[in-house]
Amino acid sequence: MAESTPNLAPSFWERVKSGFSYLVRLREKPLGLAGLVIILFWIAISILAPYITPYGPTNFSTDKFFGPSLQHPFGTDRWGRDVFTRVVIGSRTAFSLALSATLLGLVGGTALGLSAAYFGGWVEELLGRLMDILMSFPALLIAMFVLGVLGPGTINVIIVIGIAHTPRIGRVARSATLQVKNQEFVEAARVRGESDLYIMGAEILPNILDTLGVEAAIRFAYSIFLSASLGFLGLGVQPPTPDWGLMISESRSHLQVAPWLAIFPALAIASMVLGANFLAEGLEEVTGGDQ
Amino acid sequence: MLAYSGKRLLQAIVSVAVASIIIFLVAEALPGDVAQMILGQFATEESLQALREKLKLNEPLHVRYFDWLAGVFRGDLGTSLSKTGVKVRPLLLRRARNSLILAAGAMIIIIPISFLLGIIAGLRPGSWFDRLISITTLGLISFPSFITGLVLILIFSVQLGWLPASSSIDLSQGWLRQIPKLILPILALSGVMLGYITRHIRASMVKVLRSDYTRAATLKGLGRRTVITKHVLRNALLPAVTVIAINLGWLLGGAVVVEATFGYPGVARLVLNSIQHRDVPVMEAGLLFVVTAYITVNFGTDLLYTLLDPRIRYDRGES
Repeated sequence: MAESTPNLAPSFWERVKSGFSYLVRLREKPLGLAGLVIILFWIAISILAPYITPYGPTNFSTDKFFGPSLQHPFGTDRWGRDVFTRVVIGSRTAFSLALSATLLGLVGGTALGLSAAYFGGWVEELLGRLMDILMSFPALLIAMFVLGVLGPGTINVIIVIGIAHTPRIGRVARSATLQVKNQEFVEAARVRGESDLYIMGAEILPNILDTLGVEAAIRFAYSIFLSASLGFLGLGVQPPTPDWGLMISESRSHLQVAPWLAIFPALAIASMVLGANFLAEGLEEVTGGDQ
Repeated sequence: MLAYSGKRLLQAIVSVAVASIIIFLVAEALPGDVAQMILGQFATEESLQALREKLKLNEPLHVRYFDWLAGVFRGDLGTSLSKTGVKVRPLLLRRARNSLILAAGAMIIIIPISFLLGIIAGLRPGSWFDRLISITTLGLISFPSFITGLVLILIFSVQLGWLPASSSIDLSQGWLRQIPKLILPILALSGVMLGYITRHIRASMVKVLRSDYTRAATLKGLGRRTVITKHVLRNALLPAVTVIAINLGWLLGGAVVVEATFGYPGVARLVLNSIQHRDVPVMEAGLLFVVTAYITVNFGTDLLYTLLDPRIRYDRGES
């Protein structure tokens, strides 16, 4: 929680700003800073992707299974496609999947958790049970099952991962709200006659942003992890879209002759997940969460 | 205690029942006509009708659900659609046993190492060893198991040629000959969980060391060794029981990535393949098995936890 809880009603933006103030304190945490740098690096790569890739991600050529060289820094695959280009463009796939899934889980989880804690009583009981049931199944198993029914594809992967995140984020949002909801400024808003929706959105939400930020970083890392796993199993993004998990899956039959097909996408996945996990660890330290 | 166990048992049974309904409904709602799938696309309308009649596909959904459920209780799980004539029950049991072997192997590696590292790191938070463990475990949980698996294959199979890359184990050839095939999948499976459990134990140690009762024990004049062995360890390791159990459940269903990487014939890959081949009987049985195992493990953990920690016997509060 923010160390100084404002008693006088500060403006909405002031509260949002203080919710994010912990970002500045990240400077003192080398691990978190390293994570931030890695994530910023990948953001830059995915924005600049079209300008730094020498070939098209799905351009076939006759240069099959070329090892890493100046022309093809990461080599080529069995269709003669440039692996460097595919890894770089693949960062866009990874980002868009993971960001959307995290956002979906964040919106759903926050709405559920916040209202459960705010209203209490049977609402809390009902939502709590719902989240318990959702959480009592392994995420990957649900994902397999649902994607088996809906069919694979980008949108479905986002939905599945977002749903898997929802109860976990919901639990965090709920316990954060419980710590805030009985404080004076919430009481004051209630006395002023503000609506429940206003109190939840403008009074409580800004005060649990730090906790949610840490959780978002953890969920983002897990989104990359899950979507790569689903891609690897053939349930995620479909070819010829450049997806890291899919690329590794396709590399398996050529491991003997072309190990670079697996190594570079693997490094990409690992570094992005590692970066997000480092960042989450740093954020956790500066926000003082111990769990 | 009894009341709590009874309530918890009831909860577990309801969960399994709800899961069985969902599994059945969704599996039945899958696109595609089962009769058409068995007979192929050139089947005549009459033969399709006859088969639907025989498989009771024309019956209403709830009748078929209870038929299926009765079969499950009798131990009759039907016949596979994609592998003609193969009975589902022996297939499922064989795959489940294979998964159990993998899970047990991973646990043998994970438990001692994670306890040792977690306790040492947790005793001196902020020390260089603690930082090393913190970074290493973050690394471990950042590598999806198919990446760990491929790295292991590249090193030990492709480069060194010591161990096989594919693990289609066959116990009829004798146990000892299967062990080399198990090593790489077990290692790949252990990575992420080793990281998670070590972190949990470390965090739990730190929390207990900072707690009031630890301070009270120290203030009472007890030596550090006594405080740690009698007060800290006992309280800090209790939550680890839950974490390990949750992961044990995960090992059964979530090992699908490792099983796919190594071509290991486990239960999770059976489910994956049955979903891909629209093999409804195998899918239903496999999913029901994994979910039941998962819920049973969670139930068992809760009971064990109650036995070990008298404080939560009646009300489990925040978890």
